[in-house]
Amino acid sequence: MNSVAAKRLFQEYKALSVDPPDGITAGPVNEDDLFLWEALIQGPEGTPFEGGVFPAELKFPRDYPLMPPTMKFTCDMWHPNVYPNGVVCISILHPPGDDPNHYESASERWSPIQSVEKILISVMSMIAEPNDESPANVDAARMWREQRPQYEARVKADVRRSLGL
Amino acid sequence: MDSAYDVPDSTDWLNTPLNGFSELENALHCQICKEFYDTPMITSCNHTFCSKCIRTSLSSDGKCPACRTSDQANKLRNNWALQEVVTTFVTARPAALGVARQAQEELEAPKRVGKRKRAAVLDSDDIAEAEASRRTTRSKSRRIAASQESQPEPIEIADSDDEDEEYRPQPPPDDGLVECPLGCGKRMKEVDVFTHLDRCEDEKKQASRSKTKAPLNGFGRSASGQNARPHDRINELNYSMMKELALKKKLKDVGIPDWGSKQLQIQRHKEWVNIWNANCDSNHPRSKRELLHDLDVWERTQGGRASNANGLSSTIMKKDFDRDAYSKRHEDDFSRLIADAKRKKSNPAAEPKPPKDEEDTIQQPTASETPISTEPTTNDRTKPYEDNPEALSSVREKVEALNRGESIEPVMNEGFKAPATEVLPMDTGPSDAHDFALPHATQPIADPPSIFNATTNPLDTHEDRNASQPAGPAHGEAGPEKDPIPLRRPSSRDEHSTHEHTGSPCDLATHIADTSDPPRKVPMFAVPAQPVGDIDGGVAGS
Repeated sequence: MNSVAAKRLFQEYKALSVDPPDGITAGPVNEDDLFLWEALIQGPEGTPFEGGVFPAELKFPRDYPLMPPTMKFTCDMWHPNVYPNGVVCISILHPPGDDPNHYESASERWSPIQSVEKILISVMSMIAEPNDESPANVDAARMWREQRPQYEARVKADVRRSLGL
Repeated sequence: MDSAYDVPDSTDWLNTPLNGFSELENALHCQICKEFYDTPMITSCNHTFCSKCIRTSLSSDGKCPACRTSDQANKLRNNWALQEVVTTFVTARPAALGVARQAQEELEAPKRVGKRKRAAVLDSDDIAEAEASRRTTRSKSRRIAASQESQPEPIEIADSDDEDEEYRPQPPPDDGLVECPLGCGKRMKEVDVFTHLDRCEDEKKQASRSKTKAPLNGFGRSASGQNARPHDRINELNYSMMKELALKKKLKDVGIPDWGSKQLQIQRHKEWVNIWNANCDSNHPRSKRELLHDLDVWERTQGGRASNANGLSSTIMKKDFDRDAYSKRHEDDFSRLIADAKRKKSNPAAEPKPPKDEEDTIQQPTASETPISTEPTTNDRTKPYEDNPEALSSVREKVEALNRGESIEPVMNEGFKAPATEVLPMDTGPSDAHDFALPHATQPIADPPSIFNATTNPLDTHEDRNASQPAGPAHGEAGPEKDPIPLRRPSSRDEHSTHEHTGSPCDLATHIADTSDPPRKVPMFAVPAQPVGDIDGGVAGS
């Protein structure tokens, strides 16, 4: 029994495992269940996140690719666009249709032609350049805006801790 | 993994001398299903997708997935040329890939540079060979395609002006008759020409009318060389106007299952319409039995028979869904949501928050219940501190301190690190017992409650337990972080952030200091009703 979603996820998995983009690794946690993925994202160079490796999990709906997956960091992530519980708030992960935030243009939102690879690349660039228009973590956003050195220090501390240093 | 699925993929080419084919193959993939186009259709905005893919997509949001222009399924047109390219490429692919891989092996075997050149030469031979094999298969598939391709011809003959040219070269038969000057091909006596002209015009008009109609209704059908079954496309219904019984009857009429709630019936009918119409587009129409099989796959993966993992909707859509038991089981959650909503109403500036995914409550009902039932103040959430004068006074103290303008931010920022890691595992320990999908690598950022554990009073420990236990389900399920329904219970993770903001008296300062950012998300059990009422607007409502 192979649904459209499973087939497509497998396609994406294969493409990602053969030809992964720089700094990104992703795949199903277990090949029996293609709807739960784990991804590792490297902290982009030149940002306080540099050197860190950030694990995240992606959960796909059964009607993928009509609807986007959800993404959640499974590590500490002090970032304006990541909720304190790790859930990533980025427009590419927001389903088409009603815009709960009324600020995203439709072209940035999820569409079936997007892919896991594009999500992860977007998240990587989001890590490098937070969007403080719609902070998911208000405190982090404020710190990023007003006390940048403190923000960077905190992020670096998180990175070091995640590496066990 | 390849053996299990054996999905041909563009990356197959990457490690061969023909790696340029990877891009070619990608170009022949539908962007929605990421597979080779199956019955490619062009949208009004000139994008191409598989028939089934674009139909499903359009029925869900009515926009082209590529450019988001509004479009309708009945405006899709077949892209026959692309269809042929794909068919041809797929036929040629295994041979070409085999040759490419062989070439790669030969390229890798001799490690010396000198040999490499030879291999490269071989390689180009192989390419030529591959080309040749492609050419033969192409001509083969041409033949196949030609048999399917009779389709455009009837249309061309119908309304092209070339007709006259086609007829003229033939010497008119010498039978004393004249040909219709309008070119309908009829021959008649000279005297009949004028009466014929009138009729001929009418006939022509009629003919052209029926011809222009044909492509709309049966474009794909006429293309099928083998069996031109009278497949007519069906339309989605005006579901919202239909009574459930009428809808049921419709489902029966088209011959698909009619069980389930109206919602499920609607979804099923839409899916069927898409499957059916995509089949009409195809030049290899399949039998209805096969289509029903497709629908069955849908039913088991996304429809009414899908597993529970599908989420709340599929569960409550089930025919035998026990509403009473469900509402009883989640009574606590519901009352909580209601209280939450009331509180929000009195505090409209509250920020949207990640809802606690309802799925959790279904999958791990015990998990979400436990914390609530162990919470001693369940029945008296609104005034949890009433019988705790110690706590109350401590809260008052803090509030007063804050009112004097003492900043607490540094305290919070320094304090969180050390205790957070030590206290939390212990706290989340109990929730582990409920077997959540995820390991607890998922520690939240800086759990502030745990700091307060150390710094404040017994009240905080109790608060903390309350907050960290429901955290369990949130590990497993990442709820959609934006939800249009503002009333949903916040994720328990979010309650941590709640503590950061308002739950602890320490933090109230943030709001006082920065009034532009009004307080949000106040957990009702943590809010002292009276003492801080003047600070936290949210209290008034609860």
